[in-house]
Amino acid sequence: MEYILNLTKTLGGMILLAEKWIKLTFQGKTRWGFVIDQIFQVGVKSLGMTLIAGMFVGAIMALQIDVQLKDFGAESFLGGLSTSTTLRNVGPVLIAFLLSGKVGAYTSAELGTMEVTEQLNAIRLLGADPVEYIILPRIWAVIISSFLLLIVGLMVTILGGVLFSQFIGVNALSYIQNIPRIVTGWSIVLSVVKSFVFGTLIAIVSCYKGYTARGGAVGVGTAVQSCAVTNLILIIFTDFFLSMISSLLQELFQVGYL
Amino acid sequence: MGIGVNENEVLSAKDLSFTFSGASKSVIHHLSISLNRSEVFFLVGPSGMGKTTLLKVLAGILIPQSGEVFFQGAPLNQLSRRERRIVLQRVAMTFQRSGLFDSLSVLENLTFPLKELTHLSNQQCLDLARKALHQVEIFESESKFPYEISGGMQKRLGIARALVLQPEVILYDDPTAGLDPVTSRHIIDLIIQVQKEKNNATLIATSDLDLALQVSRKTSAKIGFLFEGQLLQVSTVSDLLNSNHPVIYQFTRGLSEGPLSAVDDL
Repeated sequence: MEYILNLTKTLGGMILLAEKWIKLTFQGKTRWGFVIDQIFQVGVKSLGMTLIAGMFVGAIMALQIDVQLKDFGAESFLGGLSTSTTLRNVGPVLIAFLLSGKVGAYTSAELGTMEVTEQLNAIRLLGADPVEYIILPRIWAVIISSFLLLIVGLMVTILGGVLFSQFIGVNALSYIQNIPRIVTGWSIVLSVVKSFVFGTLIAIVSCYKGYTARGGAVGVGTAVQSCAVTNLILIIFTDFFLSMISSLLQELFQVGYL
Repeated sequence: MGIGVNENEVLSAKDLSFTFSGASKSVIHHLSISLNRSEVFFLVGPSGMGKTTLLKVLAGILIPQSGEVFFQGAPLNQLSRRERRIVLQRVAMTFQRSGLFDSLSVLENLTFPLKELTHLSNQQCLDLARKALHQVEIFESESKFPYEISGGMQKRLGIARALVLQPEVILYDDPTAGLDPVTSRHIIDLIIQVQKEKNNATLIATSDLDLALQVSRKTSAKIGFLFEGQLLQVSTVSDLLNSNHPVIYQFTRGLSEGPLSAVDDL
């Protein structure tokens, strides 16, 4: 019962934070200078990790799908199938997991430390709202960073697949030529939508968990742990629903199935 | 110090009660307090009895469930957000855990509130910030970050940040916590010096009776004893030391046996 109560409270708190973020944004309260600083802090510093992860995600997908296609003598479809699967599902989810670990953990730990060391109270003391001063720029920075990193990461997964296909005896050119035969505009739209939604989830969850941290070092540790778990669960949950909605829409509008 | 409204009263609260979300017991319980201009008031009592919470309620950081905080007779809860923000600029507070912005340099920690809350030019903000740093004698460290300076210097920086907006009231939350005796002494001297120069109303929350004694020798300080969210006694320091109230008696003499031990055991 207490678990359900806490879960409801957390979800409610995150929805209220998201509402305030949208409201303050429309009121023109976003300090874009701070957003750019934060994008450097959380985004640019995560680029290396995203490139490496993206490259290997692409390679793993190519390897796994090739094993199954070989049984049917259909290796020529490797480029399209591998890229489509990566773009629509595996890529966004895996890269979002990595970003929730790096960007999400950094943000929740930073905000949690600010709360327990009374830096947020110092903002309140000035008669200002910490959500407007501290949280709003971070939410935008995490959304923009995560979205851009996911897009870059997904492009690198394609490159990873192309490069790895050479090692498993599939011609890189035929791999690339096969991509547009299977990957539709719908796959790209779905991938972009998922990247934006996952970026937004990571931003809201990590800011909320950091902002509500209490009780010193233990409180910050708990907030970061809870942030990681909540992000992973929400990403998987949302991925399932977005994929389901996508399938329904595809059937409804009779667009490319893959 | 007393309850009620008078012309000298700068900050006061009437019938305050505050309970943290999810807690069953209130931290502040129907408490009234008032602070006059140029007055030094000590808030002492055992740890966990609501001193920090009371300071945060008076500073407008926490909103009480019942009761009202008044600044120069104006009830804070009835002011618009803008009016409240203007009023609260005149109340400064130093925090037990410093509350310094660790992503900003020492100098930026002081220019930040000036830039955010005043219409001064950049140069004027820098001049005022440097003046405050000179006053607390940490001007050599202006380009360092708070985590690069000692605990004593962090306390000084906290005081400088409190001073920079030229407040009428300064609330100090356990200003000597975690400091060695020599550094504590320097901080106490600085608080007295600031109070004498600026003539601010000063409220100091502490568990350190020695601090209260040292300051009261140099100023006409009053002292309130806070226990379980209520003020048990408001008097001079010497009256408090001579009190026969069992809780105050045990606290001022540092006895291991008494009603406070029963509170610890709960």
